[in-house]
Amino acid sequence: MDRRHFLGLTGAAAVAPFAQPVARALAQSAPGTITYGQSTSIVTLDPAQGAFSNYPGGYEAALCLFDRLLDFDADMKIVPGLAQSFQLASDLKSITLKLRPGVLFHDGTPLDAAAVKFNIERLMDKARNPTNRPLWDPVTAVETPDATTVIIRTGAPYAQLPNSLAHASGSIVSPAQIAKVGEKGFAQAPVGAGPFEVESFKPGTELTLKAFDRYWGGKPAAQKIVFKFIAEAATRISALRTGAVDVIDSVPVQLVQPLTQDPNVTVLRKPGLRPIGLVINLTREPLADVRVRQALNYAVPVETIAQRVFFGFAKAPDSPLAFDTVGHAAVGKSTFDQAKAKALLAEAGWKPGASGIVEKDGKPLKLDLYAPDGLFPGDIPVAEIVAASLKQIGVDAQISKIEKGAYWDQLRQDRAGLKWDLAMFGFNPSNASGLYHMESLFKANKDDAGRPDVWNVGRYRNPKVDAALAAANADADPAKQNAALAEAQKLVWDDAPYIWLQVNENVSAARKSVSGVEVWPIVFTVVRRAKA
Amino acid sequence: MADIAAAPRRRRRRPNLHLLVGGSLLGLFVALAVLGPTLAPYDPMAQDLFATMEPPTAAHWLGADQVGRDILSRIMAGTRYTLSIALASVAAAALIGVALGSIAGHFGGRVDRAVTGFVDLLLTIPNLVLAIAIASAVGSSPTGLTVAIAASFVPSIARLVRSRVLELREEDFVNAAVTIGMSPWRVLARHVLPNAISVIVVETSLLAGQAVLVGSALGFLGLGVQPPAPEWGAMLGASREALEIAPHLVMAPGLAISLLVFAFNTFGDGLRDRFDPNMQQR
Repeated sequence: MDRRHFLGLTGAAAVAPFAQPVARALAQSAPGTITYGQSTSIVTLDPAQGAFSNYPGGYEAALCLFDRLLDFDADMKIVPGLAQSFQLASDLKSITLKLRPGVLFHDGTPLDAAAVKFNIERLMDKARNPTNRPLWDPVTAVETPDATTVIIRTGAPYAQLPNSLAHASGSIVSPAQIAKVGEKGFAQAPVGAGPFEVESFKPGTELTLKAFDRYWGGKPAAQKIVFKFIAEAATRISALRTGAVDVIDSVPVQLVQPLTQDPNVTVLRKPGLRPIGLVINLTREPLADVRVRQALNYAVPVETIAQRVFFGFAKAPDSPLAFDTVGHAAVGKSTFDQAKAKALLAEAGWKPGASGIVEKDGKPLKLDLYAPDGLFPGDIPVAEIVAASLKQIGVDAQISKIEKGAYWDQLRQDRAGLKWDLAMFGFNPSNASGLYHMESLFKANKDDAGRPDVWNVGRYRNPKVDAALAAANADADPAKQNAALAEAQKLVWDDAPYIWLQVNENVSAARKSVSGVEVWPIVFTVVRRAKA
Repeated sequence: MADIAAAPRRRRRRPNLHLLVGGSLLGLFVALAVLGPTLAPYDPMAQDLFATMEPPTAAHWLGADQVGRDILSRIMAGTRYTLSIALASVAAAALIGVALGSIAGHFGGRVDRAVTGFVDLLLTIPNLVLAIAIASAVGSSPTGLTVAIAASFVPSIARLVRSRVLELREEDFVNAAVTIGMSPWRVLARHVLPNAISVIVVETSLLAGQAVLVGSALGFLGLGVQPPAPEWGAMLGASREALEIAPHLVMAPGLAISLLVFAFNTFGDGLRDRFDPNMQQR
């Protein structure tokens, strides 16, 4: 490279990421075609074998391509799907589903009880379906008394079974196609019974779906849906404004304002179900003291972060669950009170020491804060604010920015491998169940020394919480279930195993010429009912 | 006094503008690197959540960033990171490159082939990939960044030094030194290397400009320093989404990087004009 070009390059370095791919966004959509510019690429399209990746892009396509026995509407309420009715047994250990007659897969084979049995058994199989285990582990057997009746049994009472069946990983695939292309080949050549079938698929780049003429619910509103991967937010936005795409997801909140001024664009916002927080590593001695954990919570101005960093597109939480999660109960309040934080630290034996950092037995309170770059909204700025806020009460938090690809692995370590004291995390309850959310995060691990069972990465352990969660799972009465769940939320909130931060809104946008785009609270932008 | 005017005059060196401009700019940056944090009007880490993304004002001359930190103070304090990464990587590359190049050139034969092979191997590893590999293995750190940049600069220095040494090896004064029985190492250190210094100096000063650019690019991608340290490339990367609504966030670090690269390149050009015999004959 000629050194005289360096100067020019410096300027270009700042601009290049925005300018380059815009040129690629050429063709306008044909009539009846909806083009969706996604922030994540679609690589595989199989509910088993590692599930739809990448999240959420693959799941968003799966919702167009496949139907499930039960379904969610845009508010995450469970509605009939391939099963026109269902009955949960009073002991919560089985569900009886009545299938819609005459449903066909895209390849023309019938979707009957045998096909459903094949699918459920495939999802139960840990070898073929290693992901989404908490959703499918409880299932123990499938029975098919006749061609349109399916009974699914669980070993223990499991109130969330309908949620599992409505979850995208419960997508029903064509057994004939699996026989044809093999277990491993299906992810690239998927056949379902949803409103759209695959026309062409370039993994990682583009997926084109066309309307399925023989769909049981009638022909869908759009003729074609094109999923296009556009990584950079600014590029997605300019593609939307020029009309190269009709729908985009994941609009950064600071770019919403200019977008609302575009007369051709509608901004779609929906409060999310994913509360962001910093998991506290409870195996560290100073953090085992609840007073220290509460002090950390009092030190962070969560309300101000929601207003100033997220421009009001976020809220301070009042529970370990997000506001719109089924079973959410307001059990607490985020309070910013530095004096109280300092008092709690002093009560726990931490006294002001050299250079403003609190000490106990001559050891300063120094914490390693792990944060990813770009996995959660505003992750690095928020981590910086938290670190600066903790400094003000005398806690020295050092940020380690972890590469996105390595982040989940750093979180889910066995106890000896945990390198962080605080780590940013947010769980998205993709089956819309608050109980599932609480169990995934706060149910005691079988063995705290090993890798966490699900996402209880900070090693939280409270027998009372476990009992409340078990009670919620065993009760068929939704009111009693929610009461038990509320108790669990209260216990967890008071134990403060997290520094609770904010609940963000999901922001997508569509051109005004397109209607029926849904933004689900679980970060999915759903186009299967959209109309061009 | 026509006879005096006609008398052959000693050729006067033209005032070297490049050297002057580049040198004084560099001096300014070095001063900032040393004194930056003390001169800065604010603590570069101090946040004011009620001044987030504020455009330039009398209180914040270059505005405030996403979490309300004074950008001018961050640029001043950040000079230290950018400059030290650039200088350290170039110094390391020069040390290794000169050693490899001069050994290869001076001893020739099998040694030359082995060293040249190794250098060519280094050339095949892109610095970006190396920096990402180091960051994912041991975490992002200025040291990792320095190693990655240095490794990518070693080949160009080694090749340059090797060819210069090959040239010098045939000079009479070198042959004379060999003839009187000086050890090869002594010949290299006393007679060959001192004559190669000018090309090394010119090359490293130009590479320093490139190091600033590569270092900032890697910082932009999120490798290198840990937040909240005010490294310029990282500042640029963190603000790129806000380009449309708060262009001042990108402008300040962008200008700072450009100016430092400009300083190094101009200074390097000036040095070359001064030392390169081909340029002096003009």
